[in-house]
Amino acid sequence: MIGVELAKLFRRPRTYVIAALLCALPLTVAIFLATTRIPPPPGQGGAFLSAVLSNGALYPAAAMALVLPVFLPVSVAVLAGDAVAGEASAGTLRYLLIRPVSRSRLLVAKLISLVAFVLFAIVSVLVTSYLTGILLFGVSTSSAGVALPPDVTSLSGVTISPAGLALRLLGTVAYIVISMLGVAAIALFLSTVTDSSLGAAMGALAVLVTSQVLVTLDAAAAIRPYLPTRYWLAWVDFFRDPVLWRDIERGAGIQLVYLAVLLGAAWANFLTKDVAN
Amino acid sequence: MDIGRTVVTAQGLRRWAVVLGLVLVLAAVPVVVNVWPVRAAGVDPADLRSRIAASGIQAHQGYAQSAGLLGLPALPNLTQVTALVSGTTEMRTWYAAPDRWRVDVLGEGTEHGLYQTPEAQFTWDFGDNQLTRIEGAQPVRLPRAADLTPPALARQVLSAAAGDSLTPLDAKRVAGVEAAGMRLTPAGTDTTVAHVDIWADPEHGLPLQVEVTARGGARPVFVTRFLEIRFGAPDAGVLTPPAPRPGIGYSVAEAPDALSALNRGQPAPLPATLAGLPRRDAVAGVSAAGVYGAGLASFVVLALPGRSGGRAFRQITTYGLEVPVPDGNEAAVIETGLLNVLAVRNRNRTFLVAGLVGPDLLRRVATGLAGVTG
Amino acid sequence: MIITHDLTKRYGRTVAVDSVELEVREGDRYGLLGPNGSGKTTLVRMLLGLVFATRGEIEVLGRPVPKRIQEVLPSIGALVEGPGAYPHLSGRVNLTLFDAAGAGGRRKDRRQRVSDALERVGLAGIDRRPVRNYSLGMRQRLGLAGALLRQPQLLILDEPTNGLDPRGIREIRDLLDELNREGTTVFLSSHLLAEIDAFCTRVGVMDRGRLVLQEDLSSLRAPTGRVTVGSPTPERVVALLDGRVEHRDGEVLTVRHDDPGALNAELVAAGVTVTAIATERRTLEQVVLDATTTSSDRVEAAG
Ligand SMILES: Nc1ncnc2c1ncn2[C@@H]1O[C@H](COP(=O)(O)OP(=O)(O)O)[C@@H](O)[C@H]1O
Ligand SMILES: [Mg+2]
Repeated sequence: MIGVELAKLFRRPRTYVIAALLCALPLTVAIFLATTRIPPPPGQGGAFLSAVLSNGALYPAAAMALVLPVFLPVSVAVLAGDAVAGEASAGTLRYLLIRPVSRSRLLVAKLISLVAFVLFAIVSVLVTSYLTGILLFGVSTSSAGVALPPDVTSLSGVTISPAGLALRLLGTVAYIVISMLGVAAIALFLSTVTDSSLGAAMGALAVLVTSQVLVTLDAAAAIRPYLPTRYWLAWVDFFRDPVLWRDIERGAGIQLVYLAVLLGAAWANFLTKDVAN
Repeated sequence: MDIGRTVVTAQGLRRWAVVLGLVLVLAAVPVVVNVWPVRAAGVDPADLRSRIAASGIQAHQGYAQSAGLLGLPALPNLTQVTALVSGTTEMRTWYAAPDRWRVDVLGEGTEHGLYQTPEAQFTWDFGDNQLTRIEGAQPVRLPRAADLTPPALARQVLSAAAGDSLTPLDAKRVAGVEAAGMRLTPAGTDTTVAHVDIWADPEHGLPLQVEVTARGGARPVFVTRFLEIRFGAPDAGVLTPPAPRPGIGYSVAEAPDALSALNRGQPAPLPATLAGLPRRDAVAGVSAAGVYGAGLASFVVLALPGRSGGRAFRQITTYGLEVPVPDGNEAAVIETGLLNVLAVRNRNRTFLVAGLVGPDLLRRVATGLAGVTG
Repeated sequence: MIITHDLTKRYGRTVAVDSVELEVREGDRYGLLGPNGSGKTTLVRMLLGLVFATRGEIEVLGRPVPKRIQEVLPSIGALVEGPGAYPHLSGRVNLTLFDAAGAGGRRKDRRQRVSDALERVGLAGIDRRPVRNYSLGMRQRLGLAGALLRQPQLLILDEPTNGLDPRGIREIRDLLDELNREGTTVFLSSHLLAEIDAFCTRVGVMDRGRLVLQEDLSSLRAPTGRVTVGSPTPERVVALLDGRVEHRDGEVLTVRHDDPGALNAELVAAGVTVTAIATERRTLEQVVLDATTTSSDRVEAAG
């Protein structure tokens, strides 16, 4: 069933359109930055954006900071919201269920295909933004005047070796996938509640926007550590030296909690739900 | 209710019960951790105080957070200082010895590092891509994040308030350590501080949490505490500042902040006494700034030169209240409940006064500064 | 094969299926007849574990449903309220995905299974066009092919001929006929009487959620005790048979009589020319009209 879901994902033009849109955002930003060379003031604008002007090899990290807060969660919410509701309204859900595919396995397969989508999207963004960075900003000719492999400065000012950079980017990819689990689980749950894909996606986005607002609200400080978006940007801590694990661990933990609870809710709801209409 | 019931409703309810149980268990975890009783580690305050004083050699590393509710407006050249007392600051600290430590201030996508090595201090600013080596001692400087880690603040407060009374407080779990507590209550009435609560690890004496409560306030207006702490020496590599190299900016400075730069100019002399309090300059050669008063009721007076003094004065009059002073001079004060700032314009000179002192004292100081001549 | 007891499904205040006692036996060609909205689809969905009953029991292939539905479904092929397919994929890919989704069915025979199923329903020549561009009839055939992928013991088909042209309907009927002779039990629902009449051996009639009739078609088609007679001189027949003629329509007359042979002899003996003579049997239509009350898609004014 997982294979079937992956086949459905990667045979669908929509997947590639979304990934292309995700890649287009950092590309656009890079073109503006490279032509005007006006960096955002430090501490404002996307993370790493002011640093990439001197070293394009850091652009994948800046690209992550660009797509993560809005674009990526929106696309995950749209796909996850469509996961069950879309099949129900297209009439394919009933044919899957009488194959038979057990309802719980269907949910798990849907979740795994969402993870696959996030991985695919992030890796596409990383690859395109790495190439963009190198081409548009060049590489700081650090060591012996040789352009490759480029040295990258961590947030703490220490040089990150190419191998270290690769490891940190790997950690970033893993962390972002985990960060998106919460969104996916919310939208997937709503997708089993309603037959409208759009409704499920909107519901999940409403939760995220609310969470984002509460994160910045001091009056809501008591619940802040439990908000799904609280630790979204914690992957930046991979680029500190030494790596700061505190928020990364917490963020991953919160996402797993949301995943467990919402996937549980989806399971409880979907297994005894009428598939009519 | 019969509507909607089906032959599998009971099954569905059982599943929902499982999910609900999971939610309850997960929600209970932080609650239980919070209310788990702390084994009271009763330590006599005087004993604790001496242990804290001796804890400067205790190596540790941790993650600290300070939060101020003072709501001070951003003053020119002083934004970094006002941010410290008006917002939340997240810090990572590594401490091996009084002359070997590092404090990183974390921001979203930024980092400011401060390294103390036996030879010099280094600051690293990721946003500016700038490494700075600070040479020589800094007799006067602005407060910075590293002064607000619980050990630094607690020691500062205790050394300033030598004679004030100490009472024991209930133990408290801070960053997983069961810390002994004590309350310091200033004796004098000039200060705005009602009391300072300090919790420290009873074993090493390392302060883990400091809370400052202003007079008339029920809740502390400034809290700094460790969220994570590990005892033991940090890696030598961590304490080594980044090496200057092409691609990052590097400079060597002797007066890295506005205040120490000021001290290098030719500021106006400060009076020997203000509001009846003698000036007690600690370091010779420092003329731009003077410290008056005793204990927590101390305040700092700066003399600012013409142009920048005028700007600072205007900023303070915008946010503050006017204070009547003699001789046709002007003065204004910004009150935050804990930290109060006074600006006095005396002809073309500007005096800036800041301290944890009450408005009554500041009015007397204003009159004193307005009367300075020559 | 299928037995239900007191099967009831309520949607809010509408009772879609009401105390249905269905019985489908092995080898049957069972036709579930009923107008739109009479609850056929809902009944089918309950049999397949898609919708859960408000009350009542279901047994399919000897196992309780929905409790052990996962054991039952592999032996069932089904079409529920129109076909469903991924519109951006070709028919072949759709079938391949559906085949891969279900348990069982070896991977290496998959291509063969899909080809066989497509051939059976007359789609052997389909190309790589996406299903989006298929006609309704082609989609219906594709849905049927999906139902046939695993050589089911039991076929449950809800309105299988929707969207097909008369030739297509005939082809599908022949296919079902062939499958039934090979031993597959066929349970189909339709709102078209002629279709059930032409294919089924057993019929159930739904009316507003209730199964108002369930009978072998042969016993439904009992003689009515009347004989139809065709004669070029109908007035003579009327005169001869005196009050026994019940109805006259041009040269065709309906006569109350049990035995057409005897009647024929009587008429011929009297010198009446008989062009046609046959026993009148009940039509399925008549049976259905007798069993049901009003059309369920009528909405009467209250009071
Ligand atoms: N999902 C549903 N929600 C509410 N009512 C429904 C639903 N599905 C069917 N119904 C109602 O149940 C009745 C039977 O519908 P259905 O089983 O589709 O009939 P048929 O297939 O015979 O046309 C209709 O009155 C219909 O309005
Ligand atoms: Mg129907």
